[in-house]
Amino acid sequence: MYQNLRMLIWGLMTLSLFSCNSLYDGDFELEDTDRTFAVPIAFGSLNIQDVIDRAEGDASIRIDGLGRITALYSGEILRDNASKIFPPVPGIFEFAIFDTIAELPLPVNGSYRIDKGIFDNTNIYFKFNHNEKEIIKVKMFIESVNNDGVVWEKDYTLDFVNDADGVIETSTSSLLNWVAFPVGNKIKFRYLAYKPNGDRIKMSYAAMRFDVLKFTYLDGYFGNHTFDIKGDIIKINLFDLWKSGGLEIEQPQITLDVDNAFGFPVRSKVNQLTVKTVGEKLFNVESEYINKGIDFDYPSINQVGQTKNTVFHFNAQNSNIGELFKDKVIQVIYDFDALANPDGDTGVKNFYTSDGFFSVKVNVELPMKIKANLFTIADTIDLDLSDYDAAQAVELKIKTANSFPMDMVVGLIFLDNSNNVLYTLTESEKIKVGSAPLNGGEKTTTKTTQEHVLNLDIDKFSSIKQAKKILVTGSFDTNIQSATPIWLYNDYGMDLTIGAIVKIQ
Amino acid sequence: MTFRYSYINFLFILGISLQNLTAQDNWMVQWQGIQQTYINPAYTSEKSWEISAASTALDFQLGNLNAGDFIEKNAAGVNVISLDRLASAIDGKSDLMATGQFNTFDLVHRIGSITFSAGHGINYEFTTSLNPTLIDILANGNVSYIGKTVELGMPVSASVYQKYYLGAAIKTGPVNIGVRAAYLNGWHHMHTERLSSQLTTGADYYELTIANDIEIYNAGIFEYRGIDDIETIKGINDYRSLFTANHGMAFDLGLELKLSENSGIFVSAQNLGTIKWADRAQKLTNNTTTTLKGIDIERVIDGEEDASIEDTLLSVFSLNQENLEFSQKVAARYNAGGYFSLAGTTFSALFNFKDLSNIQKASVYLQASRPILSWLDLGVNYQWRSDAAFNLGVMAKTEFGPVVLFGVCNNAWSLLNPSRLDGLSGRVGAYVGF
Repeated sequence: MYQNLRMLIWGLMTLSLFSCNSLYDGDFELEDTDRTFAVPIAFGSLNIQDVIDRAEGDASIRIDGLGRITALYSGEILRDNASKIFPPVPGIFEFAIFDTIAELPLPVNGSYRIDKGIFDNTNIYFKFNHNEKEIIKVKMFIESVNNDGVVWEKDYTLDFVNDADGVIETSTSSLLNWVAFPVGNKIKFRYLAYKPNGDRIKMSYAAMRFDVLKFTYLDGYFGNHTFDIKGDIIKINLFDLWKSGGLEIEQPQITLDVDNAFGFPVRSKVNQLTVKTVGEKLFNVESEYINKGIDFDYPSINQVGQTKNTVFHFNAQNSNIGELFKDKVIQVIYDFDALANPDGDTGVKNFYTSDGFFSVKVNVELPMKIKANLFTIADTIDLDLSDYDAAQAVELKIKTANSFPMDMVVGLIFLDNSNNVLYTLTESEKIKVGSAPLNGGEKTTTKTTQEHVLNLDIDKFSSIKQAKKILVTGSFDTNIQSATPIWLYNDYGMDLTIGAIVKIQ
Repeated sequence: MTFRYSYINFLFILGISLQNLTAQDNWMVQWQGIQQTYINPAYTSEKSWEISAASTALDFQLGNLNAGDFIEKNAAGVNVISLDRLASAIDGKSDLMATGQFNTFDLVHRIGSITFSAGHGINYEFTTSLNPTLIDILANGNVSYIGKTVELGMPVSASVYQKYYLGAAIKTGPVNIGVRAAYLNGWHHMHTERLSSQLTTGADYYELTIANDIEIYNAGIFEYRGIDDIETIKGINDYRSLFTANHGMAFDLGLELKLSENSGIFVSAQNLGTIKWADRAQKLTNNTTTTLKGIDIERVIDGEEDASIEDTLLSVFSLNQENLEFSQKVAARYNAGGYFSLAGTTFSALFNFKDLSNIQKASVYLQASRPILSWLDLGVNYQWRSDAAFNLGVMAKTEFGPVVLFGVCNNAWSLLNPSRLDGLSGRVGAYVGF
């Protein structure tokens, strides 16, 4: 009996302790609760200089001494070097020297007059044939080529050749740095041939051949002709995202920036200078300088080795550009030629060096002295919030500190894959950034700080979470600060911080 | 998050026939047997030989919390853990503690007035202090802390080591003096010398600043090679040996004064020693302050990718690692108690102070028991501890041959109302004496 009682008591003790267990048998899990976290989203401080430094494409800026900025859109640099004017001439054929004298015509345009030429590394050699059965000595002269007054000459000894058709070929001689003074664009060759007994003979065949005829320097008169510089298209992305409103730019201009190291007059010949606007319309730039051409500076005969720069601006004063740019230009299309010796003045001493060049760079210069009138741009950005499914609602806190003298308003439209609108920020929800004050001056000196709270509650955020795209619109307006165009300075910028209170489950 | 209840069940099943560890220790004072050596090295046996084996004890405390404060079974039968309720229930801080012993084998042999003792056991401890702010942030987020700096650190310590001891207790008149010397061999250890992570949520746009002052010592719990390359060491099997290179020494001291045949007082200090942790020992530090500001717009414009939040957080909590040996005290216990019998009822009192790595815990026990039947003792137990002032429990003891089974619940109310459970402790073992 005691044994049974003992077991009963222990059984009861065991059961009582198991009762502890009864509450906690089964699975455990964490309670689903709403948690609200405050987290930073983004931060940054950007000014115009930062943005343009990072911009890709043809855009750059120029900053004047006051920090005022001008946007520059540049076309490809078009460059012609010396070989375009006097290309090296390969020596394909032999030049026969009849009757001991011959004149080699230089391979240049008939309107050219070559007064002087300094040879580059041109190599020449000669071929002879004679019927004598003994050794012949030959003295060759290039009478119009000398070096410090000493005429080029060379002696050759021609061995007996037991073959009537045999041709004796001399060794090669370089003409590097020898100076030619052609007469009538011709170089004169002459030879004297003697038998061992001193009798002078005429070779049955004599000829000269060179590998490549090229000069490091030429002067004279190079005639009146045209260089085809070709053209390019300059894309101006300022209006790529334009949606509505106006942006007036004061004093836009198209600039030709020419570097010329050739020593002869060059004048522009504009084949095309056209702008394309946002409506895909084409308008020709009109100017008296397009018709009569622009004379580019050039180094004189006393300035060999120098490069002369000419900058010419097509602007509102000398063309219709001011009017054309009011229509939001997105492209400038141009095609130029260059006219050498356009006036045909043979009295002007022309020169050429082998390292000379002629380059043309076309820039579109847009001084950022602007007047924005609800100038609105828009862009669509892909969006994928599928990783944020646990987020139920978001309250964004957006702080801005703006030193631009323009009001900005950012709107957001959330779209699905079919571009159906899921949610649009209401007018009061749009992110507004106030302009910095000019206070009657030309430049802002303080920043306007603003805080915007965008509350996307559960209903709104559940719609937004379905979005696959977001259409961002930005609207800019300077009217509140000035009725006339105002300069943008390189230190204008905006500080931006975004934080969020995210409710998740 | 769902996990099986096996571990929790293990703790509760262990409660079968277990008793509160220190309450049991108190009862050891009443119960003149070998197991009194677990608390009183000055114990002198009346028998020639006493042997105890596989005596297992566990003490698990939830500090000032009750399980029902944050666990509730829902209609589907799932135990739902509410971090929100847990955060609310924590008053200041709550120390979680688990300590225990597995006394593999103990032997006492009396020769005249000297009682010799020897044995082997495994001691373990785990402590942490729940940080209510951290739990509140996990439960509710950090919105309540915008513009504030809060501490998120939670000190943690854990240690497992084996103890081989030899001891002697001398009876000189009414006084018993006992000393035990022990060789300690460490298996696992970790403690946080400093663990501070201060979170500041900025008022401007909620930028998060985390200032760390962390110094962790670890040996044999995990191997840190990088914040994303931490390997857990799975038990002692990883050592492939019973003994590791973690050696230590400790002493137990006891003094008992017999006031009469049935009364006495004693004091003792146990586990006074250190282990030099050398096997896979690491010092891990982090003294960085990092501010998470969100996406850097300028970097985005530059086409650079910002590090992911996950990578950033990993970087914030990345630790500098040094492989070095270190010495650390083992958890000591200090006891003072007394007992007397009156009309067949034994009364006892015990003050206990545990000096764990990060937590010091004091408890007072008052107990009374008497034989109800020849094979059954029953008793009542009152416990005061620093974070739970009133606990009333019951005790029982019986014998099956050489096996003595005894159980104590330190809070009887918990038995009837498990949601009030704030701790669990007990011991089971077998002994024989002749």
